[in-house]
Amino acid sequence: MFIEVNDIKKSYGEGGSYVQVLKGITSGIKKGQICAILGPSGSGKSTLLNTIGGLDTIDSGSIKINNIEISKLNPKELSLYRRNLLGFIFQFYNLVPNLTVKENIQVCEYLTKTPLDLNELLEILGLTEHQKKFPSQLSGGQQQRCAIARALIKNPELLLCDEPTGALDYQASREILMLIEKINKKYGTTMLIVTHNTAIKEMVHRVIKIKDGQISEDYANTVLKPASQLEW
Amino acid sequence: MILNKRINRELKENWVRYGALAFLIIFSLGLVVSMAGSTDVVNYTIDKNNEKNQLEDGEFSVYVPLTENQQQELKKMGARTEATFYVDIPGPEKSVLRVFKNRNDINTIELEAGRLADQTGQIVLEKHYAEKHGIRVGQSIEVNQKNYLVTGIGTAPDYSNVVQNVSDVLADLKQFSIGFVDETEFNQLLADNLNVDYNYSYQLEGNLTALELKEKLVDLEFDKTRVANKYMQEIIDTIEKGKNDLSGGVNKLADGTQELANGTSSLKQGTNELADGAGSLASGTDQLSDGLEELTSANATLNQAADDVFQGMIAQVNGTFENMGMPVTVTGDNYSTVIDGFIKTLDGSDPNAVSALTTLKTQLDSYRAFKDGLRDYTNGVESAYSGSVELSEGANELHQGSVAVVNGVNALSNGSTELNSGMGELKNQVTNFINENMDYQYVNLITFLEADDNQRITSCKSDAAINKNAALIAGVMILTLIAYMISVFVIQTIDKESAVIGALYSMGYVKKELLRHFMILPMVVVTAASLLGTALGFMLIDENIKENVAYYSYPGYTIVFPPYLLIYGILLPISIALLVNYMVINHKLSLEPLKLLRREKKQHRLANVDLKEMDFINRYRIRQLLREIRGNITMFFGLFLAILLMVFGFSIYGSVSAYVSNVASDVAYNYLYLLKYPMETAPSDATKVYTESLTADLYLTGGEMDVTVQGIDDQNPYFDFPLDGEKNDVIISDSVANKFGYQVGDEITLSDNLTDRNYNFRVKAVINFASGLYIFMDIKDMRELFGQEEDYYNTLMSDQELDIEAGRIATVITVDKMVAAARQMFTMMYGLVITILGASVLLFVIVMYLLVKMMIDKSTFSISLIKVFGYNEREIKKLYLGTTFYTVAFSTLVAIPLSKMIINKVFPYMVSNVSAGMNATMSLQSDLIMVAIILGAYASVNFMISRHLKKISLAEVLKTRE
Repeated sequence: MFIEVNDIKKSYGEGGSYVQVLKGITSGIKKGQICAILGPSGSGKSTLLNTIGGLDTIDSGSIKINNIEISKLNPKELSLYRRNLLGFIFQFYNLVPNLTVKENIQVCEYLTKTPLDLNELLEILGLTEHQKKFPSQLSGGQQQRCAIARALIKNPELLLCDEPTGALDYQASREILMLIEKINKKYGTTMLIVTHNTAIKEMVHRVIKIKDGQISEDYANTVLKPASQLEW
Repeated sequence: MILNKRINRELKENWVRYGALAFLIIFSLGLVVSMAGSTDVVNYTIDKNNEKNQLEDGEFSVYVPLTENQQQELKKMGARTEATFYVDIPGPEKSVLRVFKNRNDINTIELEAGRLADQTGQIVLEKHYAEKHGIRVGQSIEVNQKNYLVTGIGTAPDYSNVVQNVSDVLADLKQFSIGFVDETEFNQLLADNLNVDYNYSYQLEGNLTALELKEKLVDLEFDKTRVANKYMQEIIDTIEKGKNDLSGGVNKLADGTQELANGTSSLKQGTNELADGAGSLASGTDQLSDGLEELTSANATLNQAADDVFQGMIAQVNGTFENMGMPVTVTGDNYSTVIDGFIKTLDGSDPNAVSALTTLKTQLDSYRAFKDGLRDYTNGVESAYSGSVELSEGANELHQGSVAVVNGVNALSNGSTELNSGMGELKNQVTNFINENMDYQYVNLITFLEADDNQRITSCKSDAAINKNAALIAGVMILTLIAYMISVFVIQTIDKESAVIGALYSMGYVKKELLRHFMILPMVVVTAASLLGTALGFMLIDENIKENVAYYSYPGYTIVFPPYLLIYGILLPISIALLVNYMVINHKLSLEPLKLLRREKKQHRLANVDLKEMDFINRYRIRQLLREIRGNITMFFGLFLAILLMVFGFSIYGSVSAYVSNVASDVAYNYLYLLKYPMETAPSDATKVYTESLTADLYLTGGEMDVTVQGIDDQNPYFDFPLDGEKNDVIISDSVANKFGYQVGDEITLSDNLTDRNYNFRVKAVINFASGLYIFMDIKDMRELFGQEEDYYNTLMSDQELDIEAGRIATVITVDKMVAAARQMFTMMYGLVITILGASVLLFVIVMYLLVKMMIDKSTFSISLIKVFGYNEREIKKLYLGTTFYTVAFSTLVAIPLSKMIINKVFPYMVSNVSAGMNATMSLQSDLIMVAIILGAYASVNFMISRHLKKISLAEVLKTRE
C-alpha cells in the first residue's frame, strides 16, 4: 500500500470543549489510485487529509506513506516529506496574488529538481493563454487549474485535494475533475480528494466515507465513470 | 526563487507605504548623517589645522616676561614656549581687537587669503571679523587711531572660539576678534600701551606634565623691578612699603628697648642710694624721737616751776602793794592793767614810784613771757616728739619701701636687660622673616590654562560633539521605530497572505525560505533608503555645517567619510531592520501550516475585555482598537517619538528665549567692571564687589567648569537677597544650580586651579540669575576666606559707564552685551529648532498615516460589510477613525509630560558646554502650539484616510474572505 493508515485518532480541545475528530481510522490506498473521502461537514475527512499531508498531528495510530511513518517525523522532516512527495490543492486555491499564473506554478517548480515540463502542464491545464495573468484576473476555475498546475509541477507522488471544486460552479468543477482524471492517467499520481460532491465517487478507484470520525464505508470501484460523464 | 518576483509587485502595490517609510529613513538618516558628518568634518578640519599650526598644549600669563634663560630652562624641562603677548585695542565700530605679533612655532596663523604682516602698518585679521566689517585683503583698517593695511585674513588654532575671556558665554564676532602684526609694529604698540598681557603658549615634550610645568612657573624667579605695568607696580610698591615699615618699626623698637635697659640700670643705682638714705633717715628719726621723748617728760616740771616763779612774783608785788597801803591785789592776768592804772595815777606826782612800778611791771612781764615761752616750748617739744614718732615710723616705712623699690628696680633692670636681649633676637627674627617671606618673588604666574580647559580651543569640537551624540541617539530611535513599522507592515502582508503561506508550507516550503523571502522587501527598502539617506546626509553637510563655520573660526573644511558613519548610516539601519524583521517575521512564520491555511489568529486577551453597557459606537471603537493593538502600540511609540522631538524643539526654543529674557531682567546693573588693578579709592557712584573665578566639577561632562564667586554687601543695590548666615554660606544662581545640580543645603567644593586650593561652601539659597554662572556671598566673609584686606575689591557695578583707566580693567560686561550674546545663541539655535519641529511633524504625519491606513486596510472586509449593512460614510469614519483618535489622544496625553520629563533630564547634557545653566523650558503658548500641531496633523491624516475609506468597495465583502 502506498498509503497505510492504521487506527489513527485525533482530538481537539480539553475539558468541555474536547472533541474527538478521528476515532480510529484504518485504511490503505494503492499507488496511482484516486481515492475520494466523503462525508458530512465535521465528520473528520479534512482532518484525515491534513494528517496524511503532515499538516496536522495524530494522537495515536500510524500513518505510513510510501513506507515512511510520518507521525514520527519532526517539522523539518515533515517539510521535506511534503516537499518531496506531496502536492496540495485547496478549495480556495491559495495562489500568490501578485504572481502570474506561470510564476505561481514556478513557485513549486523551485521545490524539485525533477519538475514536469511547465509548458506542457500549462497546455494540459489550458493555462497557456493565461500564463501571464495574475490570479485576480482569472475565474475561479482558472485559478483552481493554476493551483493544480502548481501542485503537479513538482510531479508529486501523492496529490491531496481538499474540496477542489468546493468554490467552483458546475462547469468549472467538471473541468477540474476531468483534469484530475487526466493527470492521474498521465502521471500515475496517487490522489486523495476530500469532497462533499458525492458524484465524484463514481470516477475514483476508491471511496472512503467517514461519519463521526469513523469510516462508515470503504470500497473500491471496479468500473470508473469518466469525469466528463458525471452529473450532480 | 521565483517567489521573489512578487517583491517588486508588492513594492509597486504599496509604494505609498514603502515610499513613506523609505522617505522617513532617508530624511532621518539625512539629518543624522549630516549632523554627525558635520561634526566629523569640524573635528577633522580642526584636528588637521591644530596639527599643522602646532596647537598649544596650554598657555599661561605672567607679570613680567620670562627671560631668555628661563625659557631655555623650561625648554630643557620639556616645555617649548612662545610668547603670545597681546594688547586689546579699539578697532572700527567700537570693536576690540586683540593684537598679537606673528607666531613662529606654536598656534601659527593659518592664512585663508593674502600674506602675513611683515612691515609696520600691516595687519592680518581673523576671518569672521574681516567678513563682519566688510574688510578684504588690500584694504585698510583703523585700529587704535592708526591705519593698517590688511595683508591677510586667516585663523589661529588657539582662537577657534573667538571669545574675549575664556569664561564668556558666547563670542561676538563683530565686537571682538584677533589680529596679527609684525614684531616691530607690536613693539611700537607695547610702547603705546601699558596694558600688555604677557601670555605664553606652550607645548609639552617628553614626560613633562602640565602640573609640573605650572609648579616650575610658580617657582621661577621674578624681578619685581621689571614689572612694566604701572598698576602692578603700585601694588608692589604698596607691599614693599609695608615691608620697609615693618623693618623700620622693629629697629625702632630695638633702639627703644636698649634705652629702656640703660634707664633701668640708672634707676637701679638711684634706688639703691635712696634705700640707703631712707635707712639713715629712719635711724636719725628714731634718735630724735627718743631725745624728744626725754624732753617731753620734763615739760610739766618746767612749766610748774615757771608758773611758781611767776606766781611768787605776783605774791611779792601784792605784798609790796599791801606794804605800801595800796588796797589792791593783782593776779597774773590783771597785773598789767592794775600797774598801768597806778602809773597813770601817779604819773607826774611820784616819778620814783612810777619808775618802780614800771620796773615791777617789766619784771612781771618778763616772768610771764618766760612762763608762756616755756609753755610754748614744752608744747613744741611735745609736738616735735609726736612728729618725730610719726617721722620715725614714716622713715621706717620709707626705708622698707625703698628696699622694695630697690628689689623692683633690680627686677626691672633684669627684665629690661632680658627685653633688650630678646629684642635683639626679635629684630634678627623679623629681619630673617622679611628676608625669607617678604622678599616677594610675587609668583610671576597669573594664569595657567591647559588647552583641554580652554573653551577658545575646545568649545567648537565639544559643541559639535553634543549635536552629534544627540543626532546619533535620535537616529537609532527613529530607525528602530521605522524598522518595527516595516515589520508591522510585513506582518500585515503575512496575515493577509496567511493562507498562501500555509499553502506554500503545504507544498514543502520551509520556514527558512519564506523567512528569507519576506525579509527581502524590508531589507531592500531599508538598504536602499539607508544608502540614499547616508548619501543625502553627506550632501547636506555643507548646509548643516554652515552655522558652525559661521560662528567658529577655523580654516576651510573638507568633507570626510568616516567609516563609523558609513557603518551607522548603512549597516546600522540594515542591522536593526534585519534584527527586528527577523524576530517579528520569524515569529509570525512559526505558526503551523494548518493555522496559516485556516487564517487562525491568536485572539489577544485584551480583546475579551468586558465593555459592560458601553454604547455601541464606543464599544465598536474599543474593539477595533484592541483588535489592532499592535498597530496602535506602534503608533503610540511613533507618535511618542514625534512628540518627544517636538518637545525637544520647543524646549530649545523656550529655554533659549527664557535665557534671553532672564538675562535682561535678572541683571540689575548696567556695567560690571572686572579690575585687574583696582584703584585705592573706588568711584563714589560705583558699588564695590569682590570677584574670584573658581572651578567646579561638572558631572555632566566629567570635567570642570569655571564659576564666578562674587562677594557683595547688604547695601548692594543690585541684589535684594539677605547675606546673613555662616561664614561659608553662599547664595547660588539658578543657572549654577541647574548646571551643577546643586541644591539648598548642599556642601560644595570649588577649586582654585592656579593655587591648587579647594574652598568649601554651603548652599544657603538659590536665586534667579540667568546670566553666566554666579555664586554670591558676603563680601566680608569672602575677603576673610581669600585672605584679602578689609576693604578689598576688584569689581565695580554701576548704572553708568565709569571713567576708569583702561589699564586697570580686565573686562567690562554690560547688560547689552549679555543680552546680545544670549540673542546670538537664540539665532544659532533657531535653525536647529525649525529642523527638529519639521522632522517631528513629518514623523508624526507619516507614522500616523501609514499605521492608520494599514489598520483600515486590514479592516477592509469589515468596512465593506458595514457599508453593505447600510452605514453611511460619516458613521464609518466615526467607527474607524474615532479609534485612531483614542490612540492619538492617549499618545498626546502620555507623551507630552513624559517627553518633558525626559527632555528635562537630557537637556543639561545637551547644553553642558555652555557656560550657563539652562532648564528645558516650555511656555504654555508652546504647549498650545504643540497641541494645535498634533490636532492639525491628526486632521490632515484623517482627511487623507477618509478619502481612502470612500474607496473601499462594497464588493470587497464578496471577494474577500476573513
